[in-house]
Amino acid sequence: MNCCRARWTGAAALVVSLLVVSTAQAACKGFSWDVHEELALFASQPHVMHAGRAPAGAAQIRVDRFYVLQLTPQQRVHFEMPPGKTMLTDADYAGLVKFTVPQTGSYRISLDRPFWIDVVDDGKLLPTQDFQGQHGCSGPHKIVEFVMRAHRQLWLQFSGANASEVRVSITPAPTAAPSPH
Amino acid sequence: MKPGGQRLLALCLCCAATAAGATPPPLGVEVFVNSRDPPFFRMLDPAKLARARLGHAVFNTPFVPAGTPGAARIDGLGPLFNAPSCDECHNEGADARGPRGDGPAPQNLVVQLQLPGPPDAPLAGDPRYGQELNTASLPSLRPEGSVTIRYQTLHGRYPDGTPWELRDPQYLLSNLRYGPLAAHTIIKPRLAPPLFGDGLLEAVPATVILGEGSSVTAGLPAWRWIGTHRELARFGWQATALSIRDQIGKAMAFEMGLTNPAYPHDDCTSVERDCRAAPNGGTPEVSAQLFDAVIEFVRWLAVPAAPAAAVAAAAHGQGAELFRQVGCAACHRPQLPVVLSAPGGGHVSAVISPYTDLRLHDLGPDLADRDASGERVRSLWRTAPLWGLGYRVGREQQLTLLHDGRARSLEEAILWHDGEARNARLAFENLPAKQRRVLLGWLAAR
Repeated sequence: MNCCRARWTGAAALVVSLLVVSTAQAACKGFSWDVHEELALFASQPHVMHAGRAPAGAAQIRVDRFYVLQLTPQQRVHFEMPPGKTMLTDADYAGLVKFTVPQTGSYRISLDRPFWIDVVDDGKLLPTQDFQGQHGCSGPHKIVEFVMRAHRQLWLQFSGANASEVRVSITPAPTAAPSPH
Repeated sequence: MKPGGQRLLALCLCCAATAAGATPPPLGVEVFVNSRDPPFFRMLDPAKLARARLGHAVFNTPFVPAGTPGAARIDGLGPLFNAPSCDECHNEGADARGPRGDGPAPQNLVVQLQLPGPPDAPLAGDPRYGQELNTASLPSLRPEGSVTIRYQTLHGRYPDGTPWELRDPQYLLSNLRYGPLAAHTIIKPRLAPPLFGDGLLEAVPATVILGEGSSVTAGLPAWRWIGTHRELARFGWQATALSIRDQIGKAMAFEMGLTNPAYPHDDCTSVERDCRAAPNGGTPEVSAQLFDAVIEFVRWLAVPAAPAAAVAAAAHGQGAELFRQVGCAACHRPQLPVVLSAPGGGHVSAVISPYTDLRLHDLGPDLADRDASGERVRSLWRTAPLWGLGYRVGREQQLTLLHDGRARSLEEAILWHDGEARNARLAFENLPAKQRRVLLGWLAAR
């Protein structure tokens, strides 16, 4: 009886997990943009790095790659510019990385969680061009588009994060010319 | 930018516009220089300003599960919810982005649930799911269900032969965790509305809404029974919230799972034992200090001015006259009196331009909600304020208007009007195409 019950329990657990995965996959189909590049990246093996606590120690990341970034308690982070969204930061994590883009145009920053991000160029927060989020999808959950200038030192800041790591990618928006690999 | 700096800049822009011959914006309307730092419609004393700024921070903050270390102020999320922060749905105080097409409903389109009853009766939710279908949960539970939308395209023509197109939504509720909804539970999809100007709407005297001493006869005032007495409600798509405090309290309790001074219970029903047994973040989970701060923030939010180009383009046309002639102004009242507290004490009377009468109207069966068995239920709608429309038109790549975001343009929103607004809609349809464009351009400059 115990073996049969264990088999049924195992089978039930498998059904539940498949249901959860199936529901999540369905949710990831809800983006109205063409996000197949982002979905593919988020399904790939990530590079694991520590996001910096200050601009001087920030790691460099690259377009068209997928990363897991380890964050730091926010009160210990010095930002390049103050975050653009005012929040209570109790128990929050934060961090920053630097990057460049090869061509001027629209780029997407995709995350697996609804954390706040800012892109800083020459001491200014870049305005958001557009954004989407998908409830129940973490691969990715949130995509924000910015227009960025080529070959500039840009900062990607994370703030108000309620977890100590974030999965992220930067990709050219489909209307922009593809970046060289 | 500091609030004084924002107001100084707005004053300079206003003076420049006035010097250029343009009309200054009405009371409560301000130029939004930075949407992430929306201005207030009046100068606040230091104590109020500090509370409002704290409220802005709380508004933006994602709440976290109960017991999260170091987060005692902001824990208690869920365990069943729709969004972890106010900002997630009311982005920067603005309306939510509605559905763009077929597929899963966006997070900021919530499905409220209500058992049928008289319009002024206290709201009762579904016996199993409560007043809100919570589509998110903490990892220890599963969401109450999922919502998918399918649109059917409707085609028609104006009398002059110009074609129009509307999209009619069908809502599919699935993965209902605790069994089916009660057959007569009304399914109410609701897009998060803008919060701009709510403090001014709250300052409209009740006698004005009731139409005392005036010729106002269209629609009904939104009376709500609270215990043994009735109060006049004015917030929400169907004026189900009495006040800003009531609106915020409900949203926190039912859409975020956060108990608060106005609503000491969340939306877990007796059937949802795992929800009721989940750890909580205190009693209440949102302290009076943080709750009152959010109220202060929302209360003073200004209404965003339309882009100057849209205002200039509409300035010399017949838009205002067409608005009145077609019959829109009968419900979307261009002006309402308000009584505001004066900075030095006492009160001051003023006039605002919200384009609403804050009353309830039947807009016909095509906009009515359906119950779980698919039957349409007569629905009354609070006249939606039209102020701030120009800001939305200028900002959003795709508009999603009306209570569930089905209307993709001002024109579509008008074409959905029926019932008490049928004659006004027909008058709009019978306008020459050029005059329809003039009216729409004028609306896009509100």
